[in-house]
Amino acid sequence: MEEFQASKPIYMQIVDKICQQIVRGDIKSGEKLPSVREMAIQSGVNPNTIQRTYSELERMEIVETRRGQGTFVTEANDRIVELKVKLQRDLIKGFVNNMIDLGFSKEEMLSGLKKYVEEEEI
Amino acid sequence: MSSFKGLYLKDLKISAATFFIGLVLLNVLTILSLGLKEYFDEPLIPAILFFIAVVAHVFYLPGMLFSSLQIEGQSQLWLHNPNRGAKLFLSKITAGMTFYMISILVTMLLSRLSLSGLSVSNDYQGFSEMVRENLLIMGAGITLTSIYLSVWVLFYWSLYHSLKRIPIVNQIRWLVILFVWIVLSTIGSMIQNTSMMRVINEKGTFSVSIFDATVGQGSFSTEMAHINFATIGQYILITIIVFLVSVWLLERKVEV
Amino acid sequence: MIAFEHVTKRYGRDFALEDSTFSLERGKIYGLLGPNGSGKSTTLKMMAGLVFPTSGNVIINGKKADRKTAADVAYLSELDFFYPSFTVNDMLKYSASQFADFDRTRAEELLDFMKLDRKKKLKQLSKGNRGRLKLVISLARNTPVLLLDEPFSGLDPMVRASIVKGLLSYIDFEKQTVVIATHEIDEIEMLLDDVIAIQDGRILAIENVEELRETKGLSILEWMKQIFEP
Repeated sequence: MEEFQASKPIYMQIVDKICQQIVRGDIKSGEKLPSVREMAIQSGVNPNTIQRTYSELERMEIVETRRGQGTFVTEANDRIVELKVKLQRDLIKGFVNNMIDLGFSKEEMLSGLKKYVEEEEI
Repeated sequence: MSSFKGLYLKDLKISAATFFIGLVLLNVLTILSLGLKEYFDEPLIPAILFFIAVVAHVFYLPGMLFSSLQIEGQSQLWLHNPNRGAKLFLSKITAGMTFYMISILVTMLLSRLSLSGLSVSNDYQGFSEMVRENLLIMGAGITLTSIYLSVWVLFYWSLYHSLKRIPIVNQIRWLVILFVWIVLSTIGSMIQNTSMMRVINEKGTFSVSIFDATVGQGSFSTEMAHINFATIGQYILITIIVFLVSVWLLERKVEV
Repeated sequence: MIAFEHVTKRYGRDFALEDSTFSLERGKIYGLLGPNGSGKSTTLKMMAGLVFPTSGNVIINGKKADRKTAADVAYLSELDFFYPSFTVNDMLKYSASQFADFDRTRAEELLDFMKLDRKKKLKQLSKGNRGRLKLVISLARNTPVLLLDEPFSGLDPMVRASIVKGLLSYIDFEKQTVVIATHEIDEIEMLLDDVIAIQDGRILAIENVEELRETKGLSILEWMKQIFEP
């Protein structure tokens, strides 16, 4: 069973998790997702919540439901690329907002980031 | 497996322990009676003790039912059941009867065996003959009385557990039960004393000589030879009514 | 599916439930949450038709609740009571004989899933395994309503996890209305659609779990801390 944050709806937290798995390539494009019930058992979450997760993913056009077959990750690669970009943007946005809160300038931010990446040899 | 069979097997299982206690008591009685027989050098002691044990069986079925109901009263396992209340009760009566029959037949057999080979040329010839000739008829009478008492056990158990839902009497349920018992007995004897009932009782009585016996010096109740069909009819009616009332309570009022 | 209309239940001077009106929908999993002695158990027993209201009506599946309600409701008691001489198999056979909707195949599957030894006597089972068996018996029935009274109480985390998994695997979440009464919410927070908070015989609130997070940013635990009076 997994831990979830209190402040965010559980279905959205599962949406985020699945998005990350798709971007990382843990779940390939065109791959079938577990059924709602299987997913519910795996994550210990109410099936209605999982249903909502799948609906949201469908709305985001990341998955598609084929009648009688199940839910599949989209084969449209541009959609996955878009998702990747979006996740990156979200992270950067968080990072930038934190930096601004702490009073760093744009240049300090960029140099700090550059220095960190070089030193840690990422 | 039918629902009744399921209930019946369950009721046999939960009462098995009580049945074995009965068997142990019977064994103790056997040993005791043989001991006393040797000690007092009185060959009739076992027969008399077994005879008393046969008569005591009138309380066997009511006791069996009470202990079985007490087990069920501890949880919702029994009452969380879609089958009709009559079925739940009848299964208990049938299971109780099964054990009752085994027990009374064994006791009657012991009673008979303890008389065999005895010289009956003594004062107790009447007793001995009565046991030999009329044991089965007596057994039937005891069985019917036992069933009659049993439905009253069902009734009072159901009443006791129905009173739980009435807040004011919840704490004094035993007193209420006692009160109901007194009221019902009083009404019963009042009805018996009405002139109409007297007529019915007289007309319904047939004198049938089942046995004439003498025990010791006194004559052994020749009244028992009267078969009163009116009375029997009344008891059957009461048994049915009490049973139906108990079922109604069980289905609508009982909370455990 | 389940409706309470001005239901009051009194024991002596105490109220187990006081003038409560609410209704529960089909296909949802409800958590009936409250401290010990708040009236959870009595509320559940009224839904099962095992206890009758002092006043008001309890309607289950369109009918007033009474003992026959047992045909529509699978009820798991909080009591660790069982018929002592029964084996696991006896209990299964007995339940199958009593309930027309009892699914033997599913029951066998559930026994394997819960790793219960069919030949063992109930009194030889651990408390945890008896808790598992109770769940097997309730989940093997095809009823519109499933009521679970403290299914986790006194059980270790392993057993709790297997019970949650059992619930998720075998509840018919489109058709069944499930009500789980508990005072320990850790195990079931993720399982619930809605929560009902009950204290001193009063229904304080009924809320959707996801809405609580979305609008108030609260987990059930945090919400309960707010709503329950000290």
